[in-house]
Amino acid sequence: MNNRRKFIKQMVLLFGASAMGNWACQPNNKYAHIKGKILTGNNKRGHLLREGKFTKPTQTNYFDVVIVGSGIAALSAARKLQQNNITNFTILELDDTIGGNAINGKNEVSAYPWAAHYLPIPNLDDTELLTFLQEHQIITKIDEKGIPHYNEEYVCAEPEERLFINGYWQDGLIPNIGISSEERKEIDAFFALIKSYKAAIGNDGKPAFTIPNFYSTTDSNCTDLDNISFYDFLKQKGFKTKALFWYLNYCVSDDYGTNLKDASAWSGIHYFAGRKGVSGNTEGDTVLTWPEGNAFLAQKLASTLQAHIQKNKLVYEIIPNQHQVEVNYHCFETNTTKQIIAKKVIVCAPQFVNKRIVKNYPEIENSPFTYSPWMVANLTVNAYTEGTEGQPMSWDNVIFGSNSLGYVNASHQLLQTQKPQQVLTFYLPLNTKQPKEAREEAYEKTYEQWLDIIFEELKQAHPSLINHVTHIDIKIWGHSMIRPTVGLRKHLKNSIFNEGINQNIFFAHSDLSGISIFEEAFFQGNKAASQVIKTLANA
Amino acid sequence: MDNETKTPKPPMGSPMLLLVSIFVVATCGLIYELVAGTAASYLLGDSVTQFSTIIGVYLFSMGIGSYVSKFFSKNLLAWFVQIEILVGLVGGFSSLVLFALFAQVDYFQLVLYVLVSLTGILVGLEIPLLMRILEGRYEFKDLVSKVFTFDYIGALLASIIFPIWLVPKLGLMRTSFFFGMLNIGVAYWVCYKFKNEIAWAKSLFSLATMSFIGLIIAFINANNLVNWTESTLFQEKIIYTKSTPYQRIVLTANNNQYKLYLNGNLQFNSADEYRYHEALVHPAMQQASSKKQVLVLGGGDGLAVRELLKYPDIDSITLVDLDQGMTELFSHNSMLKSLNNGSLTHPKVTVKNMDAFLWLKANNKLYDIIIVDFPDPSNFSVGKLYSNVFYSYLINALQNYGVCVVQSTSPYVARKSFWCINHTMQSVGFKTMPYHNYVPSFGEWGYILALKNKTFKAPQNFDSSFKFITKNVFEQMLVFPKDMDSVYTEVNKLNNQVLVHYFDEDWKHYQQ
Repeated sequence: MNNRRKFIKQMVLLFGASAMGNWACQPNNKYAHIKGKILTGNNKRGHLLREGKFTKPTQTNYFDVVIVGSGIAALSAARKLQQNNITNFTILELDDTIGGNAINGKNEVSAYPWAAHYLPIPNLDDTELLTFLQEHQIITKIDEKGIPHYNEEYVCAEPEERLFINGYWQDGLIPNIGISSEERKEIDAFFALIKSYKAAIGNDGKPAFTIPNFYSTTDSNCTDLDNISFYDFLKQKGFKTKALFWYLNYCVSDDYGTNLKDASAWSGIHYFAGRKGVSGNTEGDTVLTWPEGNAFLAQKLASTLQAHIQKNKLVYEIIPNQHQVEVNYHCFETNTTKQIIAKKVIVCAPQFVNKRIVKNYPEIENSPFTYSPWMVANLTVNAYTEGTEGQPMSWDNVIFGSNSLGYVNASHQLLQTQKPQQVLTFYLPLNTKQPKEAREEAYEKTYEQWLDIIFEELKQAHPSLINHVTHIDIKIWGHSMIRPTVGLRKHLKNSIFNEGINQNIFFAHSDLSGISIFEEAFFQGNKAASQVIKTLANA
Repeated sequence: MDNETKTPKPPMGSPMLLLVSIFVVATCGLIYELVAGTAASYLLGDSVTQFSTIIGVYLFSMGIGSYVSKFFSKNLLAWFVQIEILVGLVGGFSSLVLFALFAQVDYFQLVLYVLVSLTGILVGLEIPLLMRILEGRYEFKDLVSKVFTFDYIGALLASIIFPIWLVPKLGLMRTSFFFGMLNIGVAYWVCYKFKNEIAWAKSLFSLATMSFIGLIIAFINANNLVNWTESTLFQEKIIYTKSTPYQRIVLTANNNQYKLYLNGNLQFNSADEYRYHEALVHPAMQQASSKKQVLVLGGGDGLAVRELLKYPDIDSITLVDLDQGMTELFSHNSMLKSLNNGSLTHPKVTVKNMDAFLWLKANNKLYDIIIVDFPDPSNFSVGKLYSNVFYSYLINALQNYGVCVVQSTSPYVARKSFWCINHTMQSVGFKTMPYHNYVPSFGEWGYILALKNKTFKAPQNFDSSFKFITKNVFEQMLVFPKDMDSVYTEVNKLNNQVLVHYFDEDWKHYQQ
């Protein structure tokens, strides 16, 4: 009897111990079925600039124009040069892919973006952009009233957006389900205020808010909004609804990677009031999007530029002389250093890079530009239903109260009717701490730690997601977007950014617009290209 | 095991409780038999055979149980409790197991009779064991009389409440879960009553508790389980089921009528499908100037192709259907081939198992006639196949004088949806000629005939071999009564999917 009891006790203990063991081991094992890794970015290459140990160039080439970088601003500038019959130019890109923030990945299920992934229907007066879209049949026609019609395969398909709130997936992102009528009134009041800003005209006759924002008013009534945080602005206006504050924080996270307290009121309002898109065959407030995101647009811009693009080239020094510019760069493939003597240079790198390559300019050196770090993950997921009610899987899927931006279904625009697998792009702006601290923390985190964060963020809407994911790749962006912080805009007026240096170095990057969006990068590239075209003609 | 009582047995508390438990055990036993018989009739049809064989096997198994009972000599109480728990679990989950495995296993009858035998053996053990437990506590003649009286009363109750109340109100699945819980309840009671006499009473308690919780969870989730097994969807006898990566195919038979369901939605009834397929195919064929190259999108059952093959001047028919499971089934199953005359294996027919949208976008061949036979636009995935973008690819795949026809749901039930499809087709440049007919299984059904660069001419010569359509009938089909006539709708686009919203509203309205 005693022996048997003892035996049973031992068995129970043994069983219990092994169960405990399994449980304790789980942090290592629960992701065993998920393949993938943290993709290494170009930050290691960029950090060579800090060390500055480059040998003397061994070879010199000559070009009319050098474009530094191959993001949207750079490619837009190159397109414009080409269209104006300037062909003796080269594009030097640090990375082994072009596109800057508009890069993508691809697997057997779908292409997917690594950062920028949509273009809102542009404003009617952004004619240069409309022309580009027409060149590539993204705009299929301009009707008799002058209104563009868009290729409907590129217009975000229905269902477009949903928000998980109070256990339910509601249609649209503005909190609605379970929101009291008082809160709703306040949300309506906010949008009424936005409507007035959208229509507002400054004392110089220019719109208060527009895209490109270069063309907006200099009326201080409007520009003063840059001197106060969006959070303080909302408080001053008497807003207090939590749901509204969450939603607006989501918006500035989405477009700027920042938060309500760091973003200027100007930028927060601009998010809504700057966009006045009009389309003949769709809603004006929708977006154009592709499985690969804005890499689609980058590839269109680059479609005639392949012969000009040199990848894996780190420009480490740009030295202006009276009539020409020396561009020194490192080739990663050959591990050599070379030089180009150019008549003109368009610098399309962000200013935190420029201050290391265009030296001795205090405007660049001391500029208050800060950049938001992000984590982006692409999840390959088997189709399954979670049993939550409301709108089915949409393009943009956001969870109320979450720090993340939720996920975008990269496979949404694929035409096929049945999708047994999909790729979901999860966006997490690291904006709860100051950028430097957040960036350093992000670089330290392991793959498993990021998976913990992803599943934790998505848990309330998708408790069993982990069982349906087969692959997750992760990318950390140290400096992905210019943060439109309080007081930034006055620095954008520095003549060096607008007029260039010596009429032979010009700058083009969306950070010089204070906002990291496709339209601004495109504008910056075109503006710099025009300056090059003009000064070359004058010479 | 070594503490078998040799001392005289103490009498049991209230004899009433004892009788109640016999009564419960007896009711449960008969219920499981009825559940198995009913489930087998649902799934396999022919209720006389099913009930007869199941009752036979069940009673025989009970006999085995009674025989086996003599080999239980020690720890009778503990054994009885364990058997009660087992009966509760096996009987309780029996209907779930039957419905769930029906579509999954090749030898369903084997599963059925194994389950019935197992339940029978366990139930057959109950009464003999119970009588031996009570032996010595009651006078033998009293015992026999009481036990069997309550056994038979229980059986009567079960046979009355089963058809009148249990099946209609609770449903088969809940009924078996519920009676499983009652069996476990008896196990509990015995355990509690004789806790001092039962070896490992505590472990049996927790075993009973776990089983009870399992059954309660299943009972609460019975609706989901029923949906999952789709057992209530089909009134008819199911003769074939298959889950492909894209859909669940269920074929039923009843009085020589075959019905095909995809994801629970009726696709055709063999009794009247000719009305649908003649109306779908022949008006378009009458319009066509040339009939050489034909494209069919959807229609993996091969019934539209059967109608097409009545035209000898067709050179080739390309059928694009996503689901290989569907086209294979209708190419090789002899019963189904008799419905479509083996159309899918005809030498003129090429089957492509691809997504119709992607296939059409990549296609650069021109067709004289295109037949579009997709499921109704009930969700965003299918809604795309009715969008202006899809139709612009469709019109580009058509010869200059080509003709196309689209099945367009019911203009009576889903009036807005029907006219939305019409307006969407017009928006890409089709000239349309909507028409409708009556298909008893579906009700009023609608089609849109669409012409590219061609004017509509009234068809003259429908073949006399057709069972439904004639010149006069078709003329009537072009007339829309007031309650189905054209209404304003938006154009269905990928970025508005208005059709799915219309379809949803139309059906909601109809069902209210």
